[in-house]
Amino acid sequence: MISYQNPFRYRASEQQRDLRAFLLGFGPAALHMLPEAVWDRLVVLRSAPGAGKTSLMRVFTAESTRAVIDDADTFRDLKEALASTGATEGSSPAVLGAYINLERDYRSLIDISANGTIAQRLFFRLLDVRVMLAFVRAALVLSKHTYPEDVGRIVVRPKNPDAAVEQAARRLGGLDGAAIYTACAAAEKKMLEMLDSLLPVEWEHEDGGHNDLYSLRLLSASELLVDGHLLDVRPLIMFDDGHRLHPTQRSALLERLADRGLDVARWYAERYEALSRQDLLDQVGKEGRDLELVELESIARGAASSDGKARFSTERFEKMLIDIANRRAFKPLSRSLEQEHDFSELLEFEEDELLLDRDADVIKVLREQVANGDARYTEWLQDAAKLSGYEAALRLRELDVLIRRDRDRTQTDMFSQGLTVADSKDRSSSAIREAAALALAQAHGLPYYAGTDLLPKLGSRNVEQFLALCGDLFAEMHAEMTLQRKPKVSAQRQDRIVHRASQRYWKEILRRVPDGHLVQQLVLAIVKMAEQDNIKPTVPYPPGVTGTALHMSDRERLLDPKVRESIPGADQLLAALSNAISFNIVSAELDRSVKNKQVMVIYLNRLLCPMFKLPLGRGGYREKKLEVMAKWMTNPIEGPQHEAAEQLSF
Amino acid sequence: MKDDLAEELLGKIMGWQGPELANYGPALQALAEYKYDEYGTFRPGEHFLESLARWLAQFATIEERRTAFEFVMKRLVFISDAEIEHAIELVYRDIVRPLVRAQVAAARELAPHLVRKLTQDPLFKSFQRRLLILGLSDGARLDRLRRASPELSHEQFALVPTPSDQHVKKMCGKLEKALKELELPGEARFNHVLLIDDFTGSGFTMIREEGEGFGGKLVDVKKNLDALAAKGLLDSNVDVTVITYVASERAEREVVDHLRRAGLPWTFRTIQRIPDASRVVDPAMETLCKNYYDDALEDEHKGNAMLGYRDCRLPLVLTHNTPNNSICLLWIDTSEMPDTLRRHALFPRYERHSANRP
Amino acid sequence: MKPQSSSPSELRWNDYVLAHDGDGSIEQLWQAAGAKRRAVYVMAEGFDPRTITGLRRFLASGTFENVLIIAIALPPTKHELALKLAGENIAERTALIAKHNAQLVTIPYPQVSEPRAAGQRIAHSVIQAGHFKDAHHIVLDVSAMPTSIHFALAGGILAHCEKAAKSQEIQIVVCDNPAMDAAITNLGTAAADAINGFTNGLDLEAGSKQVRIWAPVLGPSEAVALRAIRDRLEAREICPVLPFPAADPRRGDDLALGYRQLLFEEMRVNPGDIIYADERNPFDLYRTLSRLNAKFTQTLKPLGEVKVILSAHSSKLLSLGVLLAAYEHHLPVVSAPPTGWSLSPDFDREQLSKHDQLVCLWIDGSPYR
Repeated sequence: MISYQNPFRYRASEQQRDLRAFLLGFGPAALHMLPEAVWDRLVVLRSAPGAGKTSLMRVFTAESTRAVIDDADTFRDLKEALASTGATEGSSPAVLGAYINLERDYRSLIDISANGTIAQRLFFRLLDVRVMLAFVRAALVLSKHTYPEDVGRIVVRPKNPDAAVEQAARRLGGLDGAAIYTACAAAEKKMLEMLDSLLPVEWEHEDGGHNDLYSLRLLSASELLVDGHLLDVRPLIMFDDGHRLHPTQRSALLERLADRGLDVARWYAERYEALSRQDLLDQVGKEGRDLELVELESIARGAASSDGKARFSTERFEKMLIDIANRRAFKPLSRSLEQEHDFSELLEFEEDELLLDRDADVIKVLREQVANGDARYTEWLQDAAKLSGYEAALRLRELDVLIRRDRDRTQTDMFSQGLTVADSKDRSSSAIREAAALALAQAHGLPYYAGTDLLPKLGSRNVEQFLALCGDLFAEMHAEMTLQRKPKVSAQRQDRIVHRASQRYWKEILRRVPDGHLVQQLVLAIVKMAEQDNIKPTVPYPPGVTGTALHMSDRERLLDPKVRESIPGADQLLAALSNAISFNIVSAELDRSVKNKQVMVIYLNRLLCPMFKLPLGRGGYREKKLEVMAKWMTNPIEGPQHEAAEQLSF
Repeated sequence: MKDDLAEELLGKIMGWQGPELANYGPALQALAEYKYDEYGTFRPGEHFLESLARWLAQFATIEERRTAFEFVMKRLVFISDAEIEHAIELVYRDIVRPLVRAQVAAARELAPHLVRKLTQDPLFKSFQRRLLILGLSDGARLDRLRRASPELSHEQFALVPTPSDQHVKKMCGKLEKALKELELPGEARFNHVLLIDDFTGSGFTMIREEGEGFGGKLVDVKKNLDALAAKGLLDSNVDVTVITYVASERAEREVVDHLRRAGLPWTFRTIQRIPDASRVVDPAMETLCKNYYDDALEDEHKGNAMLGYRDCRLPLVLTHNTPNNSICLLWIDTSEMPDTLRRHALFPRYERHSANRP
Repeated sequence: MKPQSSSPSELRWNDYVLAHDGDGSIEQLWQAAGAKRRAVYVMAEGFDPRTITGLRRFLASGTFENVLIIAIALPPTKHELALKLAGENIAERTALIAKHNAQLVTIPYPQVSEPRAAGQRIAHSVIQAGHFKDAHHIVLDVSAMPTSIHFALAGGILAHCEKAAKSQEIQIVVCDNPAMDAAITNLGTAAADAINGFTNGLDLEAGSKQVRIWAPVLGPSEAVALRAIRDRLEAREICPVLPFPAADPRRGDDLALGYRQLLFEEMRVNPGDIIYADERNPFDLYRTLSRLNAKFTQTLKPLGEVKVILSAHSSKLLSLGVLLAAYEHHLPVVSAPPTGWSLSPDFDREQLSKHDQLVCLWIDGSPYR
């Protein structure tokens, strides 16, 4: 390992050695994104990649709960947060968390046989043996034993005699830990070897598959003994990356997990895809009764969940991001600065810094622009004249918008009386001020995308994206420290760093996202559409258009291959949109009600906004017809010219 | 000097602010720790970053410093110890074994692709044992080649290019014993000579035109081999292969050409070729070499070394020393020599022959 | 499992047969392996101009009896230039078949839900159809094949011939052309996972304590794939492989610098863990990886099961070294393949093809008996 280390760039792995690093960097507030009822029914977690669903699950694994409880001093906040979910009680774990990743091997089972039944039976068989192995391992971790050496210490004991449970146990090797381990490990190995065979294999002759999840039945109806003592914990099986399953596997699994007869906590996580049949959970069960749907992005923006309550808010989510960043950077900063410093504190600046010491010039130009001798606005302008610095500049720019709006409105009704300061406050809004701030920065070449209010927004509700940006900021702090200066990053530098990150994000789309060129085409079309409105000085959609929307019925049509055939560009649009959503290049929100209709709202990822000079606030979007959007895909738009590289980049 | 201090210093010298330092600093540290700190002639405790800072500081203008810096980041070729180690490993596996197999194939009239048959033939072991490996210089690191060639015997390596006949006679004695012990066929004299060197930049030291004929190390070796053959210690038609770990494309060309013209049917092999395309031809860098050249080390034999001896223009640094065929800025260090321009080299060269150490 | 080899002399391909273009020795290898015998030539059917280079040379090289050409169809494309190029390849192949009186079997691209299983399916169907049964000489031309296909095919052919225990000659041909590589840009990146046929116990839940060592063989423009695999594997140690010796002696350093943030900051690679392999010789990479595997499985044994996992991000030629090491030592091979490609607008088939360099590896048969 080389000596220069950036705390935001290292991803702690699942290995024990890094578990502490992972837990230390985890923001406990994220646990409050979970609903209350997570133990007695299926919980479906959804998010874009990097939004933190895997981290969230990982905190509940036996390894993590064990570590948190054993070192309660270090992990005090996390321990409290875990206790509030019911995962721990006092200093004992209350949950036995086992993690299963569904991206491993399962999908290939679909391809082994023309016979779907065989494929499905093998799917359940493989899943079952892996659930049991993961469970046995988690039990040993939680009881501070070694896996697999100590498997013999474990016994699964049915709570009541039951033929079905006995049958399930038989299928999985028995009730004794060693027997379960031996049978399941052998079955797993054999199946994987067949699956991996370079030579043709006859699966049809394989017996051993089955059509249910016996493991969950067995665990539901049993207690767990370690060395003869009851381990009083609730098993929690967490299935991750469900989107990697074949659709038939996915629905078969969900159907079984939704069974309210199960007495095992089960969570299922998948990538959010607004353009597949994923949203149709109805056949699985009723939300709020049979299952809980947890869409992390939607919770992050404060949307209400099935119980009608909002558990989170945008502000809280953004605060959590800052908290995570401060935790990550705490050690290296304290070490270098020899005193405690929050990372976020080093990004704060006085508002006036945004004017780059050009206050007088900027304000003068703005005054000339706004002053028009119209007595109707005298009071507004007099009020603004009392202000100074950035506040004055922003106020003038805001008044420019308000005056233009007023004029548009009163053209037919000229020479009415003068307006009061109170009028201007009534007519303004934070969205208009945001638009004004951005316009001010653009007109005068001032920094804009900076500060602890805006930076978390650039994360676009995605923890990983935000931390990557923090990594860029930290690199510069580190350099300042090397130069023996206080590692404050000026507003101007923050803005530059953000622009660079934005361009990099745009460029990487091609290599990162399938059909990346179509995705870029879609983004450019949205930007072009947005520019047409945003260029208007009255800012009709404050803080500015940064997204589009598709009527839900058009969305249905887009999913219909027959319809797509008849609309040129529709196939490309579907490819572009679904990949853009899967990779979080745009966010999609289904069923938003607007003016008596339901639409799917599509916003650009906020990290794209800087390079296209767009505001970060969500609010402005223009609905388009399917036919119009499809046409976007058939008329190529020229891509942006990249700023010349600032320097040789390594 | 600590790295962060060196970085601060570099920032000052290059006129970098935070953003530039945030870009270059980690890259330089990575380069230093990945390779450059291991350079053999740095003084104890001295690190690459410190040397780089001193080196850049001697250039008068910021443009010159940028030219020099960009050269380091984009053109400099540094061959590390781990890379040399890998090159040495390839010698036995990918050059020696195929050579011996080819000899067996010829002797047995077998197809050369039958590698298993050929290597299992007793002749293979015999021919392999009858290889004589000579180091053309200290840089040949025969100790490491020996370790990387576990199937060769210690008794077939001689550290000098022209071993005495007594020395080789002794080796033949051991060879005879070995053949007998292993019950291998063949005469107790060497039938293939490998001449090993670490590097050749121009080929001049190896073989060159001299008056009517040829001179150089290889010519001396040839004379000695003839003498050894006359004494029956080598086959009279002994095969000779010259192997270098690193060679410039130009040296390769010239050595092969000179060998041919000198009537020596020897083969020349190298592991890492430094192609002509690597040569320093950038005018800005050339000017820099001109402006900061110190002729204090010139002597009548080697001539001007501004762009490396014999105008080789190499951008090359070898972990243990910088070849004098590389451009002068890399290696000519007169910083501690009286009556000179006191130039700092980035990777100071240790001179085997120095006027101070006659 | 086969025993792990520890010293190079125990390696299957310690002595190997490899020929590069330039000295006519490739034609000699073909003749040595199969003159006047029945040959099967397996190739891809795609737009890549390298598709046809090997076949053209092979058929012209001499007198084979009854050459059977197995053409593996690749996923369909709508790219106009690609369709045109593919058409040209097929036209030339048809002409060659007529001229040399060869036979042709086309294997359709299989319907798979997991693209990484395609190669395995193709291998199974070619073997099941009995195409190799009477062949004395099998040439697998991987030049235009995606990694997931050529790994499973080569592995399948080796395994099949070992099992059949007939004295068959197996050669792999690859047309190396860095200029062509550069003219075809990879787009998109699929999720990282093991290549079917080379999963080799990667994700055994029973072995979930396994200590993972990842050795990615580095090449340019692969940061996205490398990150995807890093996240997928969560390896304890990462030992990147850089090219040395290499045609351009800066190449290793340029790669290390280009991936600096990824290697040294994000993955925290220890510079001492970087290993080297000869850019032109896949057998050297094979040895290097074999040694790495032997070293880690021995030293880390007390920690439990050790898995050395490979991934190839370099030239197709070097990827064959990964293939051989993975096949012999049962190592998982992971990929995050591109989901598409684009051709540079000034793609000039003729100009680019001038840099074609054919390489032939003889991997089973008489050399090793």
